[in-house]
Amino acid sequence: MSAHIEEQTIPLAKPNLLEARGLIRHYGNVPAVDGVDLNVRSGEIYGFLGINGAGKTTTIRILMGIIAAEAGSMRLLGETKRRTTIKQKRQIGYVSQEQNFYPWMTCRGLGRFVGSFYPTWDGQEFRRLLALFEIPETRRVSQLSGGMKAKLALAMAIAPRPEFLILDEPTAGLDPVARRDFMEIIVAQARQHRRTTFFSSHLIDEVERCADRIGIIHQGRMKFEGELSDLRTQVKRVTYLDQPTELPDSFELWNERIVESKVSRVYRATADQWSQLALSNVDIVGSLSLEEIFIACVGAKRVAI
Amino acid sequence: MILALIEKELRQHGAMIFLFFLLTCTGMFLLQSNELLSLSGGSVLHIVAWMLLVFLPLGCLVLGNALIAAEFRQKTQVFLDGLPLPRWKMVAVKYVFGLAATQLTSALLLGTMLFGAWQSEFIQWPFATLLAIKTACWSWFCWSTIFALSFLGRYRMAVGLVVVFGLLWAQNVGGVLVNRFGPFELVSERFAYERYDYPIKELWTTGVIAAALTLLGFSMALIRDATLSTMLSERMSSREKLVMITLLIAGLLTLGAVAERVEKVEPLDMPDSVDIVDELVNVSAAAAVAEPTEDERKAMRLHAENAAKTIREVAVYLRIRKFPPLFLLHRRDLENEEYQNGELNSRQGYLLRLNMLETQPSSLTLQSQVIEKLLDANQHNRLNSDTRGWILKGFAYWWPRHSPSEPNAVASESFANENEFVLGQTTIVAKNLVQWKLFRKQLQAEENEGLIALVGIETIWRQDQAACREFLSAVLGYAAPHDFRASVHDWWYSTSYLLRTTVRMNFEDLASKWTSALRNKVPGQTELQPR
Repeated sequence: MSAHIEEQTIPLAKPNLLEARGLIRHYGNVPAVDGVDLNVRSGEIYGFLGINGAGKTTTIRILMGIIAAEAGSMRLLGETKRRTTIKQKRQIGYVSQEQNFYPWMTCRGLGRFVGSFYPTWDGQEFRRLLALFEIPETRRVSQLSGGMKAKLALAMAIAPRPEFLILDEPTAGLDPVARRDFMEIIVAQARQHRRTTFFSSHLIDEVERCADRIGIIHQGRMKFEGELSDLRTQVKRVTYLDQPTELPDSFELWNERIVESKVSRVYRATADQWSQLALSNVDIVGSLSLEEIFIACVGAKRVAI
Repeated sequence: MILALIEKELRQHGAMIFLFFLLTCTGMFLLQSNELLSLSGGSVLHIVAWMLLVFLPLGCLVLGNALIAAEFRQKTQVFLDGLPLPRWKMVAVKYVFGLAATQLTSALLLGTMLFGAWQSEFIQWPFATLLAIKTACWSWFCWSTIFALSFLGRYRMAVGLVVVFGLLWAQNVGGVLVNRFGPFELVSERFAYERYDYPIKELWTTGVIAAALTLLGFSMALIRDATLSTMLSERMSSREKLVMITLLIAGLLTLGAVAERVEKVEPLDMPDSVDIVDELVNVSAAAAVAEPTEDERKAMRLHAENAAKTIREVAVYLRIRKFPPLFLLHRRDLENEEYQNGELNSRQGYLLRLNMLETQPSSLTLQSQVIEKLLDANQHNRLNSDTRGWILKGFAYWWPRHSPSEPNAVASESFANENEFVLGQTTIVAKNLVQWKLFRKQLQAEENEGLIALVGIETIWRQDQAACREFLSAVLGYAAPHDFRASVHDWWYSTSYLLRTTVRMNFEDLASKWTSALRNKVPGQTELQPR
């Protein structure tokens, strides 16, 4: 299988395809999503990063209209609705976290079944994708591997030629090779057709490699939303020589580590704030990798070793 | 969209449903042709009622599991949720699909049996329509119940068992007439026999319950995005299984223990009573006075012996193994032929208060009263709730007045004369069988309930015993009994069985013979004229 990846420059100041404000959803008394704001621009690849149980799937299920938000508003594909409508869903391709297809159906039969719900379904494109992904049309779903099922799901999500593609941890459970293959296909499809793609993941390298912009969700709340370069500019580690000094309130403390009585802290602030910061008692102000930023964001607030 | 869903359900469950239909048809044909089974049910239509009561709910259970529970358990509903498809449509398609399969199965079940029984049973379109309505309503109830239950996921079987056991307990231990309630009445033992009376109240009740259960099922499927149903559909943990099994065993044991305790009824103890107990009868006579006189003691003995003799004869005649106990209590304050019923349940027996010095032991009223109440107790007090109860009352009325040498013949002409006023005021139309049955509906006043028996006797007096049988068959609305025994013994000694084995002819042949016999008896006249 070979996926052609076509790199393109994404124009600036694109309109938002999705704007969600203050989405809330509880399971029992547990807030699964607690005031999530999202802005997904048209044509971009948006990586939705969070650890297991952070609220990614619940957010996506709200976006897909599978469940309703208890509060909040959502503007999707130019329409503001309390809940995603059938009309909007027809313009969205969706790959869920687990592929719960009918095991007795063949790939072709499943495509025919799914296609009957989309007026824009392109049967030829579906067959082309199956061929591209090397999935036999006549094979039963029960006989497919996890990777093949994920690709089949992607083919079914793409075949209706949707404006918006939502993928909920599509590579979960795949081996590293299959995962890389899969993400390459997604990126290629997104770039080729200028298709807005929103995918969730807890794998930092995946997000780093594919996403134009990212959102980090933790305990049902958005911790960051923006471009990766912004994140790297805004989040820095400060390592103190001796007793740490407090930074201004505008610096948001994400994490503190104490290793052999040496204190280092991760703060988030704007690039201007960082440039204006003058510290004497500081050994180093260093940039972090995305993985370090992510761990600082969602890990323990204070770690002493 | 909907067509795609229907096609999917058909492809997924079509083979199973087809097999279900095939099994239903084959099973019904086999049962219909099986002499032994059809005889044990009396009418072959009893088998339909039994199948509707047992087989159809089981079928619905399988269907509900495949259509709904499995969809949630295998999480394939998550896949459907991701499609541009309103959830209500998905649920509605499943409901309608299941309902159609259930209705079709029950229609096949009834249709196959009616087709097979058309020759052997007296089946007319109104009767077939009544059966079809009852069957359709019951099927709707069954599917709606299973539909709602299926959304309870892993607890559906437990809840179902609790409901079934609860109903059985209420029926058998609690004394609640569950089989007379709404949906269950539709498939009760009356199913095979009731030909004219539409159980409007029961149909309404069943409809309301079915609608409520449907609503409940849809609520489970739609409210809070089916979160509850999704959670319930998770497989049971080992601990949960252990708790469920423990609860089930404990429940069964408790049920058994309670049932056993309730079954043990305290016997009525009457001090200084005259007791006559043997393998057929159990009669006690006592006096509600401090010191009974010698005359009272003699009267007690006479009454006990006479009652025992009557009961013994009835038991032999009706092939009843043992009657419930009879308690006769002497009260000085009562007048001649004045009776007061005691407060005993059917298991304890029957208590009758009377003045034994004033009332003769050979009193026809007394004997009728004793026979009727004991037959009623023997039938667990179904006399007033069963549409055929009047037969027992008629029998009780008839028995003391019949000639012992010829049980089915009238004792004397004077007896008929005694009852002339009853017959004289009624025009009994025998133009055709339908009118005979309609006449039965006219007999609503309690005092007329014995009239049918009288008319039967009158028929014998005017014609012969065979004519009486034919008359009874027409009145009963189903195959004619050889004698009263067939009517009393419900379905175990059924009329159609006796008809085939004793009369050796089909009902229709018998009916036509009866009609022609009437024509021949009085040429140009097909009515029994009151004397």
